Amino acid sequence: MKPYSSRYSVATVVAIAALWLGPMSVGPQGAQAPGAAAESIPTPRAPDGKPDLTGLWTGNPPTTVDTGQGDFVTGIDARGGNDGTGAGAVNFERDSTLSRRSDPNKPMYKPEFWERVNYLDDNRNVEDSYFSCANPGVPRQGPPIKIMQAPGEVAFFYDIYPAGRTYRTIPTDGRPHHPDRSLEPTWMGDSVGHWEGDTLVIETIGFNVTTWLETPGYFHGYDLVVTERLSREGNVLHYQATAEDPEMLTEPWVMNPRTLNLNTLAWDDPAAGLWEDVPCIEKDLEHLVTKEHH
Amino acid sequence: MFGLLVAAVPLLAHHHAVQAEFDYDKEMTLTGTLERVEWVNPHAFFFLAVAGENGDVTTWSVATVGPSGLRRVGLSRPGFFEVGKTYTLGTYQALDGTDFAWLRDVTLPDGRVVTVWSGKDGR
Repeated sequence: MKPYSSRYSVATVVAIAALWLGPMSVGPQGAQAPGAAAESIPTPRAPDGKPDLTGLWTGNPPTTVDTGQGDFVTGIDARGGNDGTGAGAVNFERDSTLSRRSDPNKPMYKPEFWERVNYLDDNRNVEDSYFSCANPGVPRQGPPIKIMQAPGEVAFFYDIYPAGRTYRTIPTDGRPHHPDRSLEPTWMGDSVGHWEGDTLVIETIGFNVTTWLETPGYFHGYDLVVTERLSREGNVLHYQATAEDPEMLTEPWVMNPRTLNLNTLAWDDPAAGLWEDVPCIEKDLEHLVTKEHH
Repeated sequence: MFGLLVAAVPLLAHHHAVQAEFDYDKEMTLTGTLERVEWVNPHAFFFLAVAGENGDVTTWSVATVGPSGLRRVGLSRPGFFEVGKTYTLGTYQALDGTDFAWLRDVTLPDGRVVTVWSGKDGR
């Protein structure tokens, strides 16, 4: 097919769009139980013998871009179809808030911090910097959408809706945390990785306190340590993150594991690659009337 | 269906709650001239000049999903939105009463209708 290279005839639409599925929405790929076939494929290995995590880990999203002949997608709206069923969301926003709050896997905050968690969750429209185009940070941004692995280093790429694209380069050669960068509070911290057998283990420190561990107001302190574990099984990537914050949590919080499938679509499939991102410009805050969110 | 949704949308797939800004019970159809499109995250915007009964023209700001969502329903190609042409937008009006609305569906100049957001019909 012809790539989207045609010039716009009228300067109305100024750029073409972001990704199909950013890391914040890779869940659907995990929701589709990875087929035994994908896991039973031999795991590719790098020259050093380690599993090669390199790949585009978006699974194979449904291709619903129109043909240019007027064949618009029907039966879904712009929210639907992520799960591959083409089904739209049912009362999407209120339900997703309920489902998120009812997840039994919560960080165990010390008693004095729950009031703050509840306040932040109730006021997420204004308290959550992610709503105002900021990067959600580690570990909330989840697994990378794309990985490139080199000897002694891995590069993680993210396309986060609505914040946009970001990346991490993580040494895996045994060096310690950077003496300066690990002290500066940032959204994604300072990361170092090492291999434990066939699992890549990444430890990250040096976070700011703007980011949350997860959407329901799960804030943290400067002493946060995040450990991520990635392993590849055939064309399936397993991702898990653990957050430790002894100042606020009574025990480490193990986030729900994520499973991603390799994107194996042909190169010219619209859902096969990365789309150019668009800037994030927040305009909603001045119009928010209620505290409803999702 | 609910269980499926939980499984399918474990994290944010969208931005703010639309219901915090717009009233699903205030459906409004706007027909007018497209003045400008902003193709940005988290929400794209269409600016539509709509003539009132007394002839006064009001520019409505109509927000919708981001570009990746518009691509999902096939609206990302060039030529679908052309400044100066007439569009009809099905919308939900903002709760704050400003000239601001959320896009439900768009009728293109050639008459084709594309639903972008099913609103309360999805309940």
